[in-house]
Amino acid sequence: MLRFIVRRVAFSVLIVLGASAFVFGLSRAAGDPRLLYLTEYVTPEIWDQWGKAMGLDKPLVAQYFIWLSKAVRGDFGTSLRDQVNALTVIARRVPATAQLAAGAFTFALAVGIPLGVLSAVKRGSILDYIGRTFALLGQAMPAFWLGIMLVLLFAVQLDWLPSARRGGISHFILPSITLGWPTASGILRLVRSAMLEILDSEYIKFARAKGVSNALIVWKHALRNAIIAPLTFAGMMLAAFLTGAVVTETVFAWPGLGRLAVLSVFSNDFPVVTGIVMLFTVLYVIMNLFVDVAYAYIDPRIRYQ
Amino acid sequence: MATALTLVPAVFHPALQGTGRETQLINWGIYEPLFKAKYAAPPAFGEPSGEGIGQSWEIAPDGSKVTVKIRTGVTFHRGYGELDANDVVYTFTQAMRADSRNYRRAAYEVWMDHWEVLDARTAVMYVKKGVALPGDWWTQLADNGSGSVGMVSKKLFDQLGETRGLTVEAGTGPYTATSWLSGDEVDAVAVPDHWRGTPKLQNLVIVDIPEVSTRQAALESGQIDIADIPVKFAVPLAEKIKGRVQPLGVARGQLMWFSGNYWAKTWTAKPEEKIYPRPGFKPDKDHPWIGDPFQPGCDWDDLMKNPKPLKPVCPSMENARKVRWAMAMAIDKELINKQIEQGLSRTYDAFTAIEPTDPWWKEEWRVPFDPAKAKQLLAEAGYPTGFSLTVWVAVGEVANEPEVGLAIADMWRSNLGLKVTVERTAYAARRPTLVARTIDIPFQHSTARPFGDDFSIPVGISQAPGSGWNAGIESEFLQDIYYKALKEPDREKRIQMRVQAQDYYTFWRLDAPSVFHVFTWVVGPKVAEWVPHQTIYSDFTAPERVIMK
Repeated sequence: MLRFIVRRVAFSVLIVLGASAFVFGLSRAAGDPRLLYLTEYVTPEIWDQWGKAMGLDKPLVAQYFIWLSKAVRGDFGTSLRDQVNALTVIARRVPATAQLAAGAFTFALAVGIPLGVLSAVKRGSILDYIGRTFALLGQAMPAFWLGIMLVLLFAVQLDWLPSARRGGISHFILPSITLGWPTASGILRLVRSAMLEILDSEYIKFARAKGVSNALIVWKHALRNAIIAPLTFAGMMLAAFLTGAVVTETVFAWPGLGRLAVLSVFSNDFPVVTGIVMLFTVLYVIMNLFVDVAYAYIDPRIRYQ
Repeated sequence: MATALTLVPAVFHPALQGTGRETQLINWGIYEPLFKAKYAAPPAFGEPSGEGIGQSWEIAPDGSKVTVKIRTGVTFHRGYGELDANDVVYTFTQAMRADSRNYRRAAYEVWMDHWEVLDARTAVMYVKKGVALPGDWWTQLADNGSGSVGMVSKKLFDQLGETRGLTVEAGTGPYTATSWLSGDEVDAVAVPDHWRGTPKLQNLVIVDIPEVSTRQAALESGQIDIADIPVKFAVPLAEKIKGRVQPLGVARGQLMWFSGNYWAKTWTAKPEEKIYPRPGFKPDKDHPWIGDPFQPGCDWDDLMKNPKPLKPVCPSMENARKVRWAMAMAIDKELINKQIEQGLSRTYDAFTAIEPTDPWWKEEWRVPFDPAKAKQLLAEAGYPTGFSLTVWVAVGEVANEPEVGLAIADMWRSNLGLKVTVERTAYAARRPTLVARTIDIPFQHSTARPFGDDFSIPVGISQAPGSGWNAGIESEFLQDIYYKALKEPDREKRIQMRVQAQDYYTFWRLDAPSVFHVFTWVVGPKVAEWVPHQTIYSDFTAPERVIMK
């Protein structure tokens, strides 16, 4: 197991290094980085001073390692927009994204699991059709459209909820649903199919024969076994919530990392963009590593492959 | 009151603000410029007045300097004391320093030399030698026109240093920020006993809601009170919420630049500096709109020294000229006005901002919509079945209306049979290709007649090679006019220079103009009164003149 973990960690480090080289390469392909910080009116002396300070007089490989050594310490450079460390700009946005991700994750689990269970238990009933329709809609509707429709219905027509901005609990509801619905659909489908398979298994039939109550069979014996795959899926989706809420955050003017990424691209704020890309990469790699290790722990066959 | 608009980051140092929208700090009443225009309702810009920090000014008879008297009783927020001449001089000196990123620097650089403190209440601005003080100099330092630099406290930066000081808001305006998250929300409260009077509106929240639909919804639900809404949605929305439409900013002429026509060999200001060939100069079959004046048979001097060539134009230039004319004539401007501008706008023909109402207007400058003639020109140029091209329609640039750019691309497809690919890159990301002269595709941009236009800059600084930004077009004829006009004291002669420049633009058809784009705001029903002041851009201004019901 230890050998497996070491191998996976080494592989993850390689992926992060590869991504960092790619990000650095892109930043240099965009042109001389001084063009981002200095205007065309700058004197040649200042231009050269900045060049030396940024290590631009050194070979590209050396420049990469200088950049990498700083990045490892959290120094991605000074944000062009905010004139402070790029990591500081990113850090300010993390709580908003984390809150939204938590809201969406809660919604996805709270809706996806019970609906999936009910859909399987009441197979062919109206409840099943409702569950499957919910899943179909969630996977078919693009987030920007869903978000706007929810705003029109709940904020404009019914005047129940705010249409945008971060604020109290009521501000979380619409963006959480928009972000969480597709994941809830995925969980619902996975739970439903796993439950159908398990409810048909011998040990469930045996439990029924023993006279165990239906509720206990469904919610304890069957669900416990059916939940593994959906939870793994949900774990990966949590990483996606943290890194991929660009559309939802834009529609709801939510001040998170997704909006910062868009804003930084529009502002040509390369230090922040590279910081966000590296953060997202590391998050995904960690989540993947965690899932790999968890699988290996659960299923020993994987670690011997 | 809450309003929705694009935010500027919390950078309060004049040399380090680099987004180009820092004039918002003034518009939102948090900072104040040196001068304040006497209020006039939009579309008027207001007249120069002594109502600002600069109470009076005196121009030296030879135009070499301007002496400004500084008002007493203007205090900085957060206890940084009373503003005096040292702060004014510090502000402009920082904005103009060698590594300054201040967006006003480009304009100031042309004529402003330096500032000096005469005494605590007197600052002197020196004009560059050999350059005339521009007619709109006052506006360049005021709250109308295209924006200015907000006064900062020298004491603050002396005490905190640049790195810490740049994040501390200490303006002199009627509002002070209580929180500020860059790109998200600014919360501000009225400054009690402000020198211009305490504003009636106590709390101001400015939020960035990028989606138009969400802004509309927020207005409809009463979550915000004033929002920037595109003209095609503004009128029905205002009717629906029982609010009103407030046009703001100068309608900006939307045009396509035919980039890649870098024809100049040298830069007039530095004749020893060879600028040919630029990286974006690619006069080949993939770039039919780019002419090559260096081909055998072309009389470069004739092409570059006259508003219209005196001799027959060589094929490499004439064919590209026909292509450009064809593309310009394939644009149905009236249709764009009707469909996109709701018929509230007007057609646009002259980049140099000369309008049909001006006495020096020439009817020959009009670009007719004539698809048949356009196709004929294309065939004559050797492209009877059209060609493929990429067009850049920028996103994230406040003065452009992307829908106009997309409509033009569609008209080139349907009226000329061109295979147009639209590139929708963010403006900021593509801008370096304009500065580096590598751009070689048509792109959408906009222009407006400068406020206080005195014809000192006949064609905009965009065509002068040393000025950084460039539309992908360089011509020594345009450069010569630009530098001559900067030094020409006679207004009539300057006007004639601009006319010559427009003759040149029209003959060579270096741009494809379309319509003026109108900028509108919708004011919600809870707002009893809002009397904004006008700027070149469609900015939210004067929250201190908002009264809620």
